[in-house]
Amino acid sequence: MGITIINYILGPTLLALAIFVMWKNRKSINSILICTMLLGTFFVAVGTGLGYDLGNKEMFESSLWLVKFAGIGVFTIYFSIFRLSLSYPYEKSMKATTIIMSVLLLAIFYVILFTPLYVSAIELRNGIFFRVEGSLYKYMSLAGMLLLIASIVIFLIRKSKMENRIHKLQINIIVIGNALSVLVGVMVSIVVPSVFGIFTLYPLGSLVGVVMGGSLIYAISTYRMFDISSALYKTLIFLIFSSVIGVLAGVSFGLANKYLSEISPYLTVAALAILFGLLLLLRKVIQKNLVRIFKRKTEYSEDLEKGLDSIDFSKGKEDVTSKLVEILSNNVGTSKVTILSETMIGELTISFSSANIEKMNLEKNDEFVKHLVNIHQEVIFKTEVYTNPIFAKFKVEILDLFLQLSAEAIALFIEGTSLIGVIALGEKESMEQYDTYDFKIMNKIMPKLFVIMYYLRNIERQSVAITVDKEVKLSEQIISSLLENIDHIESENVDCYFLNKFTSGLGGDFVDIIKLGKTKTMMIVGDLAGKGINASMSMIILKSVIHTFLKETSDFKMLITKVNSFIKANLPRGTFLAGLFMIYDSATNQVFYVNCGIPLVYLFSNDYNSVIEIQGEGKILGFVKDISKFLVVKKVNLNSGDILFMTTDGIIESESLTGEMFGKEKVHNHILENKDKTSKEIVDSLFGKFSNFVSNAINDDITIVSLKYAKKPII
Amino acid sequence: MGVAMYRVLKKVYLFILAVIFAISFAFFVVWLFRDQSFLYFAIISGISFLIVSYVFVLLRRAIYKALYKKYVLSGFNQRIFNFYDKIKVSFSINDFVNITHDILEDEADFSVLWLNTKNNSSIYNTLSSTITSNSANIKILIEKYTDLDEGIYYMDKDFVLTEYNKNPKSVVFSISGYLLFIFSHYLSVFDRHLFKNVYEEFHAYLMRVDMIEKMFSLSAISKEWALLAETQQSFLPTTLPEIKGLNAHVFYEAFGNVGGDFYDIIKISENKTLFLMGDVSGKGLSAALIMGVIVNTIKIIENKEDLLSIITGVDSAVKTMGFDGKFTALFTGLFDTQTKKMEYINSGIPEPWVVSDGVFKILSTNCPLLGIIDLGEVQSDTIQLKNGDLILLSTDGVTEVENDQGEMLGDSQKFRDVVLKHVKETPQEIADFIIDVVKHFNKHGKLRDDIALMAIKVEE
Repeated sequence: MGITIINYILGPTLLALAIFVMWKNRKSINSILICTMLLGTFFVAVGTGLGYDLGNKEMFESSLWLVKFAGIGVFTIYFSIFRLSLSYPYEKSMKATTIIMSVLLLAIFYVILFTPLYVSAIELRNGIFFRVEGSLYKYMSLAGMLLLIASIVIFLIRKSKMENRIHKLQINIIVIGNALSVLVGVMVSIVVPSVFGIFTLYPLGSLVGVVMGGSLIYAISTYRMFDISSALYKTLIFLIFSSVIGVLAGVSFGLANKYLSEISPYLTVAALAILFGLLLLLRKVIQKNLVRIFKRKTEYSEDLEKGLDSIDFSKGKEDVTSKLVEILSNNVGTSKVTILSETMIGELTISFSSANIEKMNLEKNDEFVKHLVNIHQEVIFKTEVYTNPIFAKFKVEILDLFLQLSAEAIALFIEGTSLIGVIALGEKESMEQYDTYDFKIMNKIMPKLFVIMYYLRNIERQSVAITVDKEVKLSEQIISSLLENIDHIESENVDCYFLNKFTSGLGGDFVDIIKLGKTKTMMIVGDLAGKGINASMSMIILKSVIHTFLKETSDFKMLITKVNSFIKANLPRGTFLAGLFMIYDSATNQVFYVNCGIPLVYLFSNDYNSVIEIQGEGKILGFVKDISKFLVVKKVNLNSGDILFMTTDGIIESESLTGEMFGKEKVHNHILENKDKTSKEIVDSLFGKFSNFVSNAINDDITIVSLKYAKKPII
Repeated sequence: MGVAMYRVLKKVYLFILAVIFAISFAFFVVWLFRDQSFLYFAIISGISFLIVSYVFVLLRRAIYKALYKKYVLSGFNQRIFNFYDKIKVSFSINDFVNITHDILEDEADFSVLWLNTKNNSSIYNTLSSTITSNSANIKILIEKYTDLDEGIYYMDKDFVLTEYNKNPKSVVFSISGYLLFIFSHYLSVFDRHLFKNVYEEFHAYLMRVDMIEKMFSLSAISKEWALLAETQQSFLPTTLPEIKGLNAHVFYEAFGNVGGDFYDIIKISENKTLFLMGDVSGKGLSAALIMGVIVNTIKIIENKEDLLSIITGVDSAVKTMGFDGKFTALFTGLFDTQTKKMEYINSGIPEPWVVSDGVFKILSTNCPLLGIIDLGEVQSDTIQLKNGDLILLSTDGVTEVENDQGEMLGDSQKFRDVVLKHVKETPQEIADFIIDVVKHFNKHGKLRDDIALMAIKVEE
């Protein structure tokens, strides 16, 4: 063993790679050719390695056969590369050519294996492995080399006629790989032996095939463009890094071996081990510093992200769109940006285009669109559509989409299983292709773009919302004047206070106080089903209608019956009113009330120092045609210190973030704790507690009323 | 003590690995190649070093990863890991609070305080902890850190910012106006890298939730708005009653989603029919709200033959509600199909016309606008009509449309010409022609107001 260990490692690796390539793309002719080439390299690696070792062990017969097999491998490589150069990247069977080449190759196999014309014998010269070349060896090797060079030339000629840039790039990779492999071959088999006089590197000849095979695999798995100059730059850095470390390691190990091995091999081992450790440290330090150099100058990721973050959604669709386009243009470097977004009726249409595309409809139900949605690749480059097998099924349709959008790259925005938008980027002004760096960055910013796309899709709704907001602001004054425009209970013994809070500027809760006579005052606490503008419209109407009814009738029950019929007959279906109607008579300190669905009415009795529920059961208005038979008038006598307290369901049914309901008990305890305070204090502090409890913005209208009867002492 | 163990073991394993690699490398190189020339030895050992050192780096990485998983992503740290893993699938405040509660509080025994510095409120706080349930503390923290730059900070027990390695008692995440405090006595046992992950996920979560909430409310508002238009439509008649001796047609279009114009044709008795045409001052929602009140007030007025009671009812409804500065114009006409007489009160509807024998008569205003000033004494007028007469009632959206020369439609000859030209046709055709003129009267073809037009023809 020794140097051949490299061959033994390479052998199985190459075999595995060959199998992998075949397995990955079973029907592809290019894969078969690459697989053949890799198998050839496998023969070279194992043949030269094992042949070399057996030769050195004087097993010349076996060694000769192995070396001959390596020869077979070499020509297999040449032929498969040549054949590949004729058709790659396209899948062409070229039967006639292939058969002729195969026959020729078989003939060469015969010459190598069964005649001494290629390699005639293996022997040891000066104790070193030596391969006795046959009379045709030089010519055959030269022919092989020429075939390889011819392949490179053919590749280059074909490349110059190609339109597709990704194919050009792939061929570039192969050509560079082949050129490099020729270089390696020349180094290993000519320069090192003749210049340095080292003849023992023979087994490393298989590196030629390895470099070639590597470049082929890299080429076929390159779906997206990458900037070849920056790739070369990185490779160069890597090579320099490796060479510096390698040379340092080699020299220091060599010197240690030279001067110490004569003293003691153990000392050499120890010295080498220490050097190994030090070199590891050095390697780490150099690498750390190199990371900085590795960064590309044209990196725009940060600016792009910052730009997207700076988009101000409050400025409206056009501003957001133009900012988005500007940011994409500046950073990615394209002036052609097209945005498709889903309309309110679910169609994907152009919402913006700086590529002068005026009309374009993407049908969401098209098979290829469904396919694009299903494969879950959000960023797609045009170059990739040609090469990546996942697009193969709908290649034509997808390319047509790119053509229609004059795009080189598209980003798909998918919500669930539905495509809600597409951003298409045209070619870069620098004429450079979208590369792997762009791909990485675009994927990274997808969530941010998604938010913007989501916004653009909802822009029509946004404009509605802005209108509503404006309208609500204009109407708030009407609502508030309406809510505040109420009578008061004119009695110095009564302390009445209520609080109305709406989820938005408008709501369906209301409290109305209407003076009926000298001592009688009516109070209505109402909560209309729903919230927001609709509930508030019904609320205003109801409030007005109640006033009108009160002019015609002073009968309590009659009023409620009329309100009920009115809701049922005139207000939109689904309008219901939970309300408490009560009349306070200051002459008797009595409260008559009918509860139609207010969930909580408490009476704090000062005499008993207890809070009792007195809401009873009542029907909500607007359900049944005739409510009169369900109406029950109740009466409460107020004594000094008593508190009548009520809230709508907004308070007791609201939940905290952990899902706990506010409930009645907290209200109950609150009244007991604060019974000596004023109505305003009781109500405000309850609302304070409630706000803390829900943490969030309230999500139902809220009304709290406290009516405290406290007889002023007669002075 | 997972993280400390991890750090120690990292060093131990690194040392062992380096020793094994160094000795075996040195041993093999010396054993295999020591008799070779200097150059050969240097090349082979140099290349071998590159390969072996690369393998070494790979192995070291694998070992670190395994150690990290075993010691950092386990025990205490596992909980933090679980936490930020779950943030990824949080889409609402409730989701976030639930995982905070389940993982940070219940499993890891942290107390958590989440503040919104934009409105100085606490979104969530752990109630079982004395630190986070104390409102004084919350106040102090809000005051102290409202303007904290975005980032991760550590705080000691006195709420003073400190370093991670100085035994902090709390980690603070400050992101776009939100402050998330996580308190623990054992904060230093948790790996700070995990806090970085929490920060990033929390940030992404806030962005996500913000957008989701906005989108959600957008769609809710647009639904509500559409519903309001439906509600308003429901206050207007969907079909006009069939009345012998009358043929009527109404065109109505709100300028926005909703408007303040309203109309109705109500058959009161066998011979009596009531026409209503109204226009609330202003446009949009505010006008629509008042329109709702007025229409419904009229509906509940029992004696609709008494025009005065309708007028006073509406007037009083608007006044009682105290709508600031809002008023309405209203035309009420009571037509008797037998006598062909129409009793009417016109409170400010501009130019209701009667076209009779090719002559335009204007039913002038005989009552002030409703809801704003004292009505004083109002008396209705009566007009005798005959078969073939045309009554045109419209709001100012029709009559006050201006052309580019500033001329109003109601004053223009063009309008009269169109009406006279088509006067023999059906009310619907007449209305359509008029609306066509309205829409093209100015060159922009844009409406600036609600439009309501009622065309009624007296017939046999």
